[in-house]
Amino acid sequence: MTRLELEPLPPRPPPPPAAAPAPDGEGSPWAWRAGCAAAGVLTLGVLFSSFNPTFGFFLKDRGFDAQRWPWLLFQDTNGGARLDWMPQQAYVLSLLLAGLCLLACSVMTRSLLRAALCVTSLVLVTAVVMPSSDEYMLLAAAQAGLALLAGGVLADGRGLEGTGARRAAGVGCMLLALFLVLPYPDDKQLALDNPLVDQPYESPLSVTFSDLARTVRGEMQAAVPGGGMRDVHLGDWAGAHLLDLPVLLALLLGVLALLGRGGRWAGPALLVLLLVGTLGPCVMRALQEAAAYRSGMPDAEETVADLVAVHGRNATQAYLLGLRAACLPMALSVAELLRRR
Amino acid sequence: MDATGPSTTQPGARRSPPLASAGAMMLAAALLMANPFFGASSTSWPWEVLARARSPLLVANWLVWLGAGLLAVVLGLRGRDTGRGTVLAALALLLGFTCHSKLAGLRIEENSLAVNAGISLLMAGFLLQAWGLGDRAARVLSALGGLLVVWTLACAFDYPSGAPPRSQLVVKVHDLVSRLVGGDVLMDLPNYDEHLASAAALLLASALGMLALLGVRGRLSGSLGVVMLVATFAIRPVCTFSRVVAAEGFDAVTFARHVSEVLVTMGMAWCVFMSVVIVDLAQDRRDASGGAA
Repeated sequence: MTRLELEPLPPRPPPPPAAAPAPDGEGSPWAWRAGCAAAGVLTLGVLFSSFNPTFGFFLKDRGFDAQRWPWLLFQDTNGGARLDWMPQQAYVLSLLLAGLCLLACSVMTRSLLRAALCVTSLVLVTAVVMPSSDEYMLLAAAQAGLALLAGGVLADGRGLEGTGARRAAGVGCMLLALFLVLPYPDDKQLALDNPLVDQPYESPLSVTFSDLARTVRGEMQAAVPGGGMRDVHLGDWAGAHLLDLPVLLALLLGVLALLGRGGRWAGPALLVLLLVGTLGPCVMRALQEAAAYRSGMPDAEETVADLVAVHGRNATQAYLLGLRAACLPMALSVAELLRRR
Repeated sequence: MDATGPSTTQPGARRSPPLASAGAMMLAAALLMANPFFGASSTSWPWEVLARARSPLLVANWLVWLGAGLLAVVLGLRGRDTGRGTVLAALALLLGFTCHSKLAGLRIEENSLAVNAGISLLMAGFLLQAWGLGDRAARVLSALGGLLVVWTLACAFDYPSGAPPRSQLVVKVHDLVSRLVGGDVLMDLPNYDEHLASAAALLLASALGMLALLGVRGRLSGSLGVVMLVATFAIRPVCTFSRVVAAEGFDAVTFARHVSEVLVTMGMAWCVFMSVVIVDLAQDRRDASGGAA
């Protein structure tokens, strides 16, 4: 009987270390890069929409002539360099640097420099678009909540296991929930001028649902630009609530993500909701005001340039309300800062 | 809890006296604003203000303020990590947006939201430095806050009649330098030196915050930064109160009004609360990742 010689078994590999506290994960790199590119293009778009020879509108109410290209602001009449520090230069420099930083981030590999550029772009944009008007403060709260939620989920696409990402998403969800139930005055200007006057206060959530119920029942009517009323359909309802609907959907998606049911598409989906929530109302306003413009001058011959001017100016002005223009950089910065290095 | 700051050893049972203190400051600020003895904005208790208020938004603002303060005290002393940072951060952010609106019951009027957000980030970074916690978080928060404050002031313009717009940062720096070398200042305000001293404290704190990125950080610079930020809020009311005391003698009611002005109207209570909540969140993250943050 031959003795079976067995090769000694290789040493057993050491057991894996005990489950470490969940780190912040990789998130969705392609969605983050796409978001950066979109944010860069939008930021530069705002800049060139505010200053251009066709419909530049920056500080028009203060008599400033913005109908010229932004680089001309840095030249004096003799063609030399002009180094004033005026509102227009601050605005142009902030948006230009922020846009370029965001575009650079979209092509850079992950590094400390990329994180620094991303956060710098957020600071530059926030400093010039932070609302000073009281009217848009609560709107800005909802937009910040949406950005925090999207940033948190984008930082960690694997079921929000990372502590920081989970916290950011949680804070965003709570902020959105509080925004939806906070009572708003029907007439904000009246409330500001005379707080003792009685007027109805409703939360965005109740307004959304009561408008939906009235639309479904066929009781909702809207004024048309030429005078008179017309029935409101579901499409109009969705258009009128283009901020509240993405907030509501984002809240649901955020809760699912916090419960570990978001899946890997939660981050990109939240980015899309953020874009719809910030750009949707701008597009709607541009279309509505363009329709009003056309109905006011039915015989006017519109060129493509006219339409671009009217739509571009209105959409940009709407995009500058609240924190809309800072929403995307905020989400991307949160995601970048919360990722594991 | 050690002698210098919150404990870092047991995340599951971490008490936070700073959080409880910030909550108590919020409650005290509300009581100083509304009480029958020396209320700055109302001579009724807060609950009577709430019962009489006609605007639900004003009621909501008071409730969120009081609720945030109470919750911070309870959760800070209770010492169980039940996601308190998340809840308190959401409440603090909501307060930040509502209190900077004219519709709020407890209004912050001194600085814009961007500047106060920058001050909160700066203070959070300095607190982390002073307590020797979270090196990376301290560095990022200090630098971010400093940059936000400086760039917001640079992009905020005053429009004096008959003169070109002037950046607030340019005016402050110009006037500070002018005062130091004995030149003329651009602004003509009563007791302008107090404004300048306050601005100098804020600008120095911002510069110190940005220097954290270059390695200038530690317990000393953190403590110095916190002192400068407190001075930013306190210099003017302290000077005003000193003048009142010199002219009329000490009066508890006037003293309470000045304290409430610092805490609510100038925004110190919100900034401290926000910064302590950010510190709590940074610590949570640091504890969860084994101290690597």
